[in-house]
This record gives sequence, C-alpha cells and structure tokens, in this order.
Amino acid sequence: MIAPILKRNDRILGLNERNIEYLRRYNTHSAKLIADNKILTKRVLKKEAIPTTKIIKIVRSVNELENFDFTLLPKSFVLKPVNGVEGGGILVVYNTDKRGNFVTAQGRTYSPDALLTYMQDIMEGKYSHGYLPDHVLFEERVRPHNKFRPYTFKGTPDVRVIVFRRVPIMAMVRWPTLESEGKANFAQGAVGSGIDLATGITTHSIKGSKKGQFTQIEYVPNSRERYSGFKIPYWDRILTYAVRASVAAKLGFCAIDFLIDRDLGPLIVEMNARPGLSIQLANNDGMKWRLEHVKDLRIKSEAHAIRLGKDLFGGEVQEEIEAIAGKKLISVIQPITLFSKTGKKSVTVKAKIDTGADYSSMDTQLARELGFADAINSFAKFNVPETMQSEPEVKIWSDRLHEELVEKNEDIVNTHKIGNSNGHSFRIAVMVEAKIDEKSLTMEVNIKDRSQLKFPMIVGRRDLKDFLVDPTLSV
Amino acid sequence: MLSTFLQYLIVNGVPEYTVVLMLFLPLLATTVTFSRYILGIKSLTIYASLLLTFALYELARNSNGSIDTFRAIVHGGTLIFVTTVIAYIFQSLTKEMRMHYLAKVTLILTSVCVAVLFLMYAFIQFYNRTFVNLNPLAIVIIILVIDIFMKGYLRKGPEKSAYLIIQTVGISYALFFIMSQIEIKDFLLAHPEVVLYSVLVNIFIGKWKGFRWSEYLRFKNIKLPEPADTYDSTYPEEK
Repeated sequence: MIAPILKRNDRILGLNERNIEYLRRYNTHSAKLIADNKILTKRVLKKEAIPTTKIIKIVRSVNELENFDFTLLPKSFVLKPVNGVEGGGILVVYNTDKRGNFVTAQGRTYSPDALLTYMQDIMEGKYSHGYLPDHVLFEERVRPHNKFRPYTFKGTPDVRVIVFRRVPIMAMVRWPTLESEGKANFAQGAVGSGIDLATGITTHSIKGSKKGQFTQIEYVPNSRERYSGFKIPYWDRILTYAVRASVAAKLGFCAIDFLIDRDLGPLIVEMNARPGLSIQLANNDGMKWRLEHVKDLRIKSEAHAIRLGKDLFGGEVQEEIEAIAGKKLISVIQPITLFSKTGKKSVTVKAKIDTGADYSSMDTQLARELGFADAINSFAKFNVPETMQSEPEVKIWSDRLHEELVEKNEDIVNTHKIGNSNGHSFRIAVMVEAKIDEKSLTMEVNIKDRSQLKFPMIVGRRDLKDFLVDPTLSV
Repeated sequence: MLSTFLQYLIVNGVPEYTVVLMLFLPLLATTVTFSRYILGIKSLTIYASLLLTFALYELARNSNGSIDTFRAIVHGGTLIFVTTVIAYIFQSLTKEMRMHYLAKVTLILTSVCVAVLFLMYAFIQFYNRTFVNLNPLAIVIIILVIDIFMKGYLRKGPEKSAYLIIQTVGISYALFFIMSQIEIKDFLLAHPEVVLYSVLVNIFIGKWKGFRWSEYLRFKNIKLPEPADTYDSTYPEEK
C-alpha cells in the first residue's frame, strides 16, 4: 500500500526537487531576471524575431503617472505589472464607455482616476517579486482565435509549454471560465487541459478553485463540448517558438506562455523561470521522468529538440483520439463512388470492405465504364492466365511483363501479384479517384473479372487507413 | 562544554530567560523549516510565525517566569483575531483610495491600535483586569505582524490569505506549546548541544529533494501507467 504511494516520487516532480535540482542548476541568475521582467523578455524575443504581444506604453515613474494621457490608449488593452508574480495584477480592458470609463472582462468599470490608483498600487510593488517598486505595462489585447470560442468564457486561453534543455517536456492549455471571470488562472477557477506534444490535441482536464483544490472535469460548463480532443491551432509553430525563446533567454528549465491571436497567430506573453507543477495534474502524468530522460541527451539542433519532445513524450493519445475524432466508421458492405478517368462521370457501387486483402480490386466491366478499356485491352493481348497454381509462376509473368505494362500504358501504374485460397494471379492496377462516406481518396485498384462474384469491388487494407470498420453498421 | 559556557554567562548576570530564548530560536526556526519543506504546510513568512510565537510566549509569561497557557490562548487569541479583522476591514475600505502604500499601512496600523485600546476598555468593563497588564511589547509585535498578514491579503486575495493566516497562527501556537513545556526548557539548558544538532537537521532538510507530505495528497489523483518493459517484444533466446 505504502510502496506505490512512495513510488510516485519516481515519476512526479515535487517542489523541493524542482527548486534544488532544476531551478538552481539550469536557470542562471541573469536568465531569471529576463524572465521576471516582461519588458526585458520582449526585448530578448524581439531580437530573435519571435512574436510577442505588442507594448503600447510603459509607465516608469510617479511623474509619468501624474501626467498620464488616457487618450493615447486604444479602446481595448491589457494593463499589467512588469515584474508581476503568478499572473497577479493583470487588468484586461475590453472597452471604453462613452464617459471615458474602462470596462474590464468581468464587467467592472474603472474611471480614469480609479485606473490611476490601480497603476499606483502596481508601482508600489503590490504584485511584484519581493514587493519591490515596479513599472506599469500597457499591451495590446489579444483577440482570441475563433476556434477557442466554444470553450472559453470571455478571456483568452493560455497555452503553456515547459521546455527543458531546449526539449519540450509537457504542455497544457488553460481555459478561462465563468468562475474565473475570464482569467486563465487556476487559482481563480480556470480549467486546464493537458496537450499531447506530438499532435497538439488536448487530453485530460482539471478545474482549479479559489481554495487551491483541483477536480477532474470533462465537459465545458453548460455545454456539450468536451475539453478533450481539441486541436490547438499552430501547434508546430508554438513548439518552435517555445524552444527558440528558451534558447534566447538562456533558460534551461522554463515555462513559455502563449496567447493565440485571431490574425497574428501564437504570441509569447510570458516566460516563467519557476514553472508551477499543476501542469502534471492537467496531463495526468509526472514531469520528473521526462526531465530525467532529457538530462543526459545530446541535443543537436532546434528541430532535433522538437522531434525528441514529440517522439519521447507525445503520441500517447494519438491512436485514441484519431479513433474517436479523425477516422470514419464504415460498414462491411459500403457504398463507394468511383470517378472516371476524366473525372466527368461517376459510378456508385456496393463494395465489400475486405480487411484480409492488401489491395483494392474491381471488376473488369466496371473498369471499362471508368475509362480504362485501353489498359484492359493492352493487358489482354498477353493472354495471362486468370488463375495460376503457384507463386513462382506469377513471378515469371511479373518479371516478364511488369516493366513493359507500366511503361507502355500510362493508365497502368503498377501490377499486383495476388495470392489467395482460389489460387494466384497477376493483375494490372490503375489509379482511381473515389469517395467513401464523403471522404475523398485516391486508390490504386487492380482489375479482375468479378462477374461471377457478389460484389463488383473489394476495398483492401491499403485504402482503409482513414476508416474504422464497424460490422454492426448497416448502410 | 557548551553548557559550561552557558552556565558562565548565567552566573555572570545574563538572565536565564535570554539564554533560553537564544536556544529556542534556532530550534523553533528548524521546526518551521521542517513543516514547510517536509510536511508542506504553507504559512506566510518564517518571521511571522516566529514573531507571533515569541509574542504569545511573552503574553503568557508571568513575572516569576512561569507560563500561563490560558492567557496565551484567550488573550493572545483575542488580540490576534481582533487586530486581523480590523486590519482586513480597513484594508478593504482603503483599497480604492489613491494614496501611497506606506500611508495606507500607517492608517491601518492606527486603526488597529485604537481597536486594541477599545479592546482593553471592553475587557475592563466586562471581564477582568488581566488584559491591562499584558506585556506591551508583545502587543506591538502582534500589531506589526499584521503588516505581513496584509501583504498576503493584497497578493493572494481574501480567501487564500485567510487560509494562510490560519496556518501561520496555527504553527505559532504549536511552537508556543513546544516552548512553554518546562521539561523541554530544562532539557535545553542541560543539553544545549541539541541546538548544534539542529544545524545537521537543517542541512538535511536543505538538501531534501523528496516530496513534501502534502504533495502526496496533491498528486494522489495522477494515474501513473504501469512501468513499461524496456523492449516492446521479447526476443527468442539465441541457441
């Protein structure tokens, strides 16, 4: 009983180990300074041409605060402390009303005077590391990508990638909820979903609370949408920027936070030199074993680092998600629409889905209808027997005719050597455009006289990659 | 050897109380460290816990050196509770006001001081006069710790800071009870080298990389996969 509980420490990273083993060893003091200061962060990223949220204005002194010109501000903006801790003190202004008051995401209004008080609090160090005096930063507000709309309440979801020695280790997305008042912050009640590094698809989800507890969650509140199975847009770009940003700031172990803009794509909002550990809960997996895997690897390049992250730590849900979301369910006997060579004509037939066969095959008559008469005739000239007794016999025909057939007739793209319980045969194959259940595909189909058989066509394994066969389904 | 040294100090006029405090301080600090890194109990700063502990000890200490635990619980508890609540109220009242941080803090401290005076008045009227004789320095310490509480409130919000304050006060009371045991005090005076052992304990805690006890709870819902074999398939043995 005790042993498995104690063993969790083998895979999961705790605060003590994070502090001693990773933060001190892999993040230099100057790197931490860059990450803690949002303006320095932006400067470093800009040098490397990594996109970040745009600065509108910085207020550095009480004097600047007293003479602050509100007319310089656009209608919507984000105000934050330059050295803020744990996302504190961030104010998202959505709109400015007629009287010049600022309306926040939570529907609260701030008069210009109230906003000055707020800015003063920031400058007095209310939200900064060690309560030290701070500056105020005005940024352009990121308008969330449309794909996020069904999943979020008001605010913008925040995508976080943990990078260790350039390798992406773990990722999650935090969704603002009604309870979190549009903020993507666990401590306020936001939801977090783990992300499969290989595909950028969300996996497991948890919900934070103001008391600091986490609960599992599956559906978006008041909705039938699931948090899992969502593909984060621009996933590969996000990984690339995350790796580059960690290199630019010389952070060995860090969290890179992105917002995804409707037009501009992924933008880095923050780099964190002390990544939190809740991401492990969102991913339902520990981070420690991943870090230990990467510790001794020789990372050759940025592309290598990304590939390592994807291959080592991603893909655990790929099959699962694809099965649910990416593949079509079809029946054993399935209507299939075949397009003629010119594409002008189409024929719909009932095909047998044959997972025992490698290749798809169709009847000679059907092939003629689709415009492959020439190919059939040129093959017929050789009088190849319909069925043969042995594989070597087929091989002799294949060796003799394959090159000639493929070269002389442009419709013949290949020849197939087929063996089954009825004997062996040598057939020509053509390319056919087809549609199964609204999904278009290009098939390499061989031609055989099937006039004595029940179905004019069978679909083999090679053309079934994007489908799942459900024998109980009737079409 | 260490105890001879301490005896020398006491014989030459250093009050025993001072020596005891000097011995207790590292021990109590070690306890706070232990509760943070091994148990994972979150509190505000280590100073807040230690200051409150000593304030409670001062409140409970009679002039003859004996300890009145009841006074630490009732009087100390009332003081901490009332000052915190008053500070919370004034903090939220001044929240929207445009003024410098220190000015705000001073305003809050002033209100807390006035509240303490009224509290004494209330005790005289409705209870007894013991409150009037409380050690003034202890009261000042409690009032000043409020500043640490308020910083927590500003940063973490009312709910989480209340939780942290309760834990901090809880730790302080636990430390106070350790400190108020005469047996422990006598043991410390007889074996002051215990303090040196606390150095070893601190070095151990300082290098502790394992989970904090609270993290077993925090991560209990993570379902870890069964450890996979090194190879996907087993290879036939070579003959």
